[in-house]
Amino acid sequence: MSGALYFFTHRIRTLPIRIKLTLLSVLVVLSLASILSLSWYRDISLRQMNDMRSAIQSMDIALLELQRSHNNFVNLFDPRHREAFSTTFEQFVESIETAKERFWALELPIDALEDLVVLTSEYQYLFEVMSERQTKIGQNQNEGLRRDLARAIAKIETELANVPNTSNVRHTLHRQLVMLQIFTKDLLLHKQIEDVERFEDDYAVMVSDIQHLVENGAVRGHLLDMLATYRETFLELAQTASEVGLDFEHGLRGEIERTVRASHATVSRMTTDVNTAIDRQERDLNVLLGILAALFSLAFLLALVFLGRSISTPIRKVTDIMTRLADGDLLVEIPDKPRRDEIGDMLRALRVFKMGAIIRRRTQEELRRAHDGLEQRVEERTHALSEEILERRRAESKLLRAREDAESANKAKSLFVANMSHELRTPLNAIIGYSEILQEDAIDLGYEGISPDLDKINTAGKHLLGIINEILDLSKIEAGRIDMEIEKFLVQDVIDTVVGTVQPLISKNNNTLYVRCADDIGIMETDVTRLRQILFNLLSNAAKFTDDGVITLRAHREKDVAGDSMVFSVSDTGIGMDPEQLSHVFEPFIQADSSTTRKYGGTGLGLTVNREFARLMGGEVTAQSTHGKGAAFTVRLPAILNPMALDTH
Amino acid sequence: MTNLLLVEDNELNRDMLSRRLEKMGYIVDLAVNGQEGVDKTRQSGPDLVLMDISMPVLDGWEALRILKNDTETKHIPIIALTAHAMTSDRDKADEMGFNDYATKPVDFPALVHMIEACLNSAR
Repeated sequence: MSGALYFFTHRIRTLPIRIKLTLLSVLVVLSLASILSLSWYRDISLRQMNDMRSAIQSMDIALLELQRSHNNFVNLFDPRHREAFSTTFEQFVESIETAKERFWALELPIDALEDLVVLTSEYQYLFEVMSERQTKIGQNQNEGLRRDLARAIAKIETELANVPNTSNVRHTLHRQLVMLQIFTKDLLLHKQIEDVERFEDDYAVMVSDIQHLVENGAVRGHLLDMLATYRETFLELAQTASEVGLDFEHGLRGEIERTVRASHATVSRMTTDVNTAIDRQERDLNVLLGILAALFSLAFLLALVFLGRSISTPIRKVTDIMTRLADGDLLVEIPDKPRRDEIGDMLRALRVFKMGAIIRRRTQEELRRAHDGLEQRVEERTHALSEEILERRRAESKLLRAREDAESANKAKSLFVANMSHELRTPLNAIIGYSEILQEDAIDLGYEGISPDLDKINTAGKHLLGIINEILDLSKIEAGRIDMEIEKFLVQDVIDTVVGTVQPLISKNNNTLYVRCADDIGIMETDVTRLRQILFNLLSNAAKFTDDGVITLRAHREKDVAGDSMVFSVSDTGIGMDPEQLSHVFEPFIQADSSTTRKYGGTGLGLTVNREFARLMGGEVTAQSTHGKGAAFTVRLPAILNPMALDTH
Repeated sequence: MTNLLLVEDNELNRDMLSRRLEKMGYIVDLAVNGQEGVDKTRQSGPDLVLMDISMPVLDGWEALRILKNDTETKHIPIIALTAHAMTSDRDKADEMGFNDYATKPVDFPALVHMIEACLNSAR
């Protein structure tokens, strides 16, 4: 349970700040709204209560009005007052009904009202009865019993006239009659009830007097009847007056009085009740209002504190973490409970910063360590280096001197070779030339027989010249003193020249030469002399090592974005080479074997020179062969030789 | 009869060439260096001069220059003879005014061909 509660409060504590503030605002608004509406309700209630109070007061007033009317009526016998009473009474009843409704609405006790209603009904009833009795009695001598009384007395007086006034009988009876009338008046004026007793006494006397004093029997008889009638009427009047009530405490009047008093009391009671109820309600409402206000204030305060702290506490914590991180305390703990509010975002970011700071510090440490180590090693090395440098310097100067020596030696050698070659060529030219002259002379003189021997001399001389030229070329290549003469030329022309030159060699061994030159072979821009040399060399080799065979020269152009290449290949159906021989074919002075040299001639330098030339021209020479089947040499050269790309070593 | 002047410092070469040329029917005069070559050209006015390049006293280039600048001799065709076979030499020979160019060892039939061609164009 507490776990769930904690979870719930955590969810609230980690709401985004703007939502918390919104919640607080809502709470404030709610509080104010409820307090205001409660005040408004209280005011309305109290107003209703006050209305009630005034209603009751008017009831009281109405009641007094009733009393006044009724008293007037009783006192003055004026029927107008009776009407006024009725009207007032009706109003009074209406006001009671209204009050009843109001009481119902306000949930006030209505028993007092109901008592009032009862009392009021009684009052009305009593009043009705009373007015009936009053009517019976009569408002004046011309009405009711009073009229009867007056008539009765008139009759008696008339009859008394018939009584002779002997021994003052008539006067005495008259006087007694007057006495009886006085009692009646007294009674009517609501004096006392003893008047009835006195009447009876005086009546009895009067009756006796009549019986004794009046001789005329008829008159006596009439007098007695009329007196009896008077007495009946008087008694009835007395009875009725008594019923009405001779004073405020007796009879109907008394009852009415009591009723009215009870009504007043009831009204007072009601008033008290209402006042009490009003006061109570007021007090209750005030208390309620007070409690509500207090509750809301408390709730608001709590919420403020709770939410406020849920904002300020984490912020303080975050600030603390940030300060410590900034100060360099990288051991600071960052809480990792996931929060989905701005605090959570800050904590996540701080974790990243901390990680970064830790890594940075570590890196710095490592760097410093490395640096320290480095410094030390640098010192050691510097010392070692300086010694080494000294040694190297010494070695360098030695080497420099050696190089200078080598260079001058090389130069001397090249010069020597160049001179030598010239010195070698000159006598060789003589050998070649003179052998040719001798041949011509021999033929002219008819000594054709010696021509073959002379031819051998000639051939040997040319062979030697070839070797010398190749040696010179190689030496130049080694010395890096080959000059490339780059010019544009038609490849077809070079091929034609070479083929023409080599033809005798090919025919010598009964070989056939086929030339397959592509139509679009076009133009080359490179050292044409060297190219000629290479092609001639390859063809003459092929011719040398092939008997009764086929030699094919192929040439085609390979187009490429980087630059076209020329591919020449010379293939033959000669003796070929085995893999061992093939592997050494480009090395200087290594022919297949020495027997081959003797049999086939050649210098052993040709292919070496060819390859060097090809390389100088930016290309390559490659060889393929099958022993006994033949050989194929392929020269690959760039169609345009860029002087910058010259490979000199 | 065609008069040729052979300017060559090497004795053997001189001998070889002159004998073969004479056998072909030319009249061959000899000079052993550039200076002699110039002098003899001026003196006898051959139909064609065969000039070795590398010679002492006055080399082939110089001799050529002198002869070609001389109004008397500039019309005479001069063929260069040299041991070198470089294209640059050929171009230089052309530039300097040599009418043609032959390399040693001399391809004799080709040389005769060259001589005839130069003589024909000179006439």
